[in-house]
Amino acid sequence: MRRFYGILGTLIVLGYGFVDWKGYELGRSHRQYVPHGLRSAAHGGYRSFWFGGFHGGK
Amino acid sequence: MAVANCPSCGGPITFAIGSSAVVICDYCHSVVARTDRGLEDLGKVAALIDTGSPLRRDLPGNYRGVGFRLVGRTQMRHQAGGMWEEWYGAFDDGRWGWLAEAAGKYYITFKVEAKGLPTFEQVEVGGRLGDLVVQEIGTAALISGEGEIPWRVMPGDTYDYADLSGPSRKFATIDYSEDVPLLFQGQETTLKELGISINLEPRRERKVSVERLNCSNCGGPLNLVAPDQAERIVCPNCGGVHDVTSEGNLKYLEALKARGPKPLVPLGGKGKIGDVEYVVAGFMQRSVTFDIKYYWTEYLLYNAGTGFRWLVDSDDHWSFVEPAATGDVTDNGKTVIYQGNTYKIYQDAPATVEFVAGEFYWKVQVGETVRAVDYIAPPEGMAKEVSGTKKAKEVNWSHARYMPVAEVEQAFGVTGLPRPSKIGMIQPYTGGKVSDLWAKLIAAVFVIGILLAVTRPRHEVFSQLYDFSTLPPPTDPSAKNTRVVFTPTFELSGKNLEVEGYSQVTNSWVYVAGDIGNEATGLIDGFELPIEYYEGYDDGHWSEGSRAKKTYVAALPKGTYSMRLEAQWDEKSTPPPVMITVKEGVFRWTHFFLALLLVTLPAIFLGFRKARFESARWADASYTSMGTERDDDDEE
Repeated sequence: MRRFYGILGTLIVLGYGFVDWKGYELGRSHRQYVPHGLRSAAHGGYRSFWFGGFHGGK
Repeated sequence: MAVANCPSCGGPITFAIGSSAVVICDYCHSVVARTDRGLEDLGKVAALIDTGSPLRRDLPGNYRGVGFRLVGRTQMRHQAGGMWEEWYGAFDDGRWGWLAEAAGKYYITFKVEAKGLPTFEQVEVGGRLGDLVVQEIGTAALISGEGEIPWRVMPGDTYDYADLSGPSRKFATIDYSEDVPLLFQGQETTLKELGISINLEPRRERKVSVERLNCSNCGGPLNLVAPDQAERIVCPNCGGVHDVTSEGNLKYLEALKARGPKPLVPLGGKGKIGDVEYVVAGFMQRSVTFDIKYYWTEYLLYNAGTGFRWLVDSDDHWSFVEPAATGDVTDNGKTVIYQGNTYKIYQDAPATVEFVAGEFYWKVQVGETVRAVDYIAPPEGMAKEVSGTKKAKEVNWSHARYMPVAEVEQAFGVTGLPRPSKIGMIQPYTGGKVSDLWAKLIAAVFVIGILLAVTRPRHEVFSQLYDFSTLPPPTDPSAKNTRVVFTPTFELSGKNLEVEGYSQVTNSWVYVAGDIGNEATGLIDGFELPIEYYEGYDDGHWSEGSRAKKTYVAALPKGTYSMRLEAQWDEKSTPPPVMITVKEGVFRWTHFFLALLLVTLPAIFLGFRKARFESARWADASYTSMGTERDDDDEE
């Protein structure tokens, strides 16, 4: 059990170091590629790729 | 040298040593003393009992550079029935050395001046005299003797004594044979240290004349493994009890009525533990009684060179037990220290012999009870057995080492031994200790965190204030409270990002959805900044939310980026400007604490697992692991 914990702990520590060295974030990624020239698209074109909506407010 | 005639039989007697007190006549066993008025006959002693000792009179030796010669001996009997011999060595420097021989062990002592010795009434087993501990107190009776003796032995007299043991094999005896107690101090020794070569002496004779005997009760075979040591032999077939007489014969005493368990390791079976091969000489079942009787079995092992050892089976947990010198044990009551290890008290109860079979080096009998105190430091244990009454008391220590069942099977060539179903007293916890590992892993997380903070310093790559309400409205009327803006470009070097939005909203909200995009590659990553802040008075000031919001974006490849920011706000108000700041190479505290948590959680789990194991171990103990005596309420 000590050996198992040693291996698991080492993996966690190394994993932590790797994730933060690479600058990764945990959780769902919003990353994607969009076609060139989308910036010049009409209002709302860009938004169609990514808009999460807002649920805040009183 | 003085030669005279025995006043009893007229035979020649010799006082070779000027300081000897008495000579025992070789012909009539009279004890002859030297007095001012001549020789005095003090009476007769019995003929010598053949104990099979390798020593003999006139044997030379050399102890610590001083030569000596064994010139006499006495044979003494313990009130419990055991016997030992005391040899007297006349040293070349004029001293007398007392060489006691018992159960194959040798103790050499010399008379030393001592004041303030306890009286026999005061001395107690376990008491201390400097670094010496009283191991045994008792009364000895002179049985027989031969040669020259440095003290005035009186046939038929008894002598009180106390034996003490100390660290590094120290040994001492307080002799109460005279008005003032005498102290004899020395050590446990070996024939080699005494300069006595046993190979030069005649072959040691066996105490019991033959190794193969038959039971007087049932006629079954009695195969002896230690015929020179056996004191009592119990027939494994019928329970017939035999004593070994001084002539080397067996004397049938009785047949035990109780039938006991069958030995799992057969009597006469051989097994190798370490480098030593042992033979199973005896088997016994013992018990302690608490709410019910708890039984365990013990196997007496014998090796001619090493002596006796024990193999103990308790609830299918096995341990190998070796004697420990009393003087090497520091007894603090609730803990003992032996060879640097501290042992905790586990149980203190009278242990009773329930069943015996085979041969034993003492006159064992069913019903024999000793006070047994167990101390543990798994996988090792210490046992203290105190026997006798107040003024005939003895303490014996032994050290136990846990033996897995498979090791016992392999050692003795047996198979199918039952496996334990509960936690044993000195069973080691196989999970191991993880606290040190945990500490190392935590330290590693801190080191890595510091390295990350030092080598990847946080720096700002973009910062700008946006007043979204001043931007032209969209054409879509349903999105009248929405504005979109594209930021100027900025450079990223490939590290993670922290995006912060700040707005002076009060009882309102503004929501910014952003995309960071690389126009060259088309890669975009998104984020959200829901900023909301509410406050008021309701039995005092209250507030909710925050005017600043941070979010993190995973590292984007090195390159030139810009952001598309889309803001929405509460249609009932006009939003204040929003300050958007992007920083690169930020230290992620969330990741740091998550790593600490992930490293700690298994350690906590393993800690609970070990605690449960230890709790089960101590469940049957009469003490708690803190050393307090468990009362009935604890057991419920």
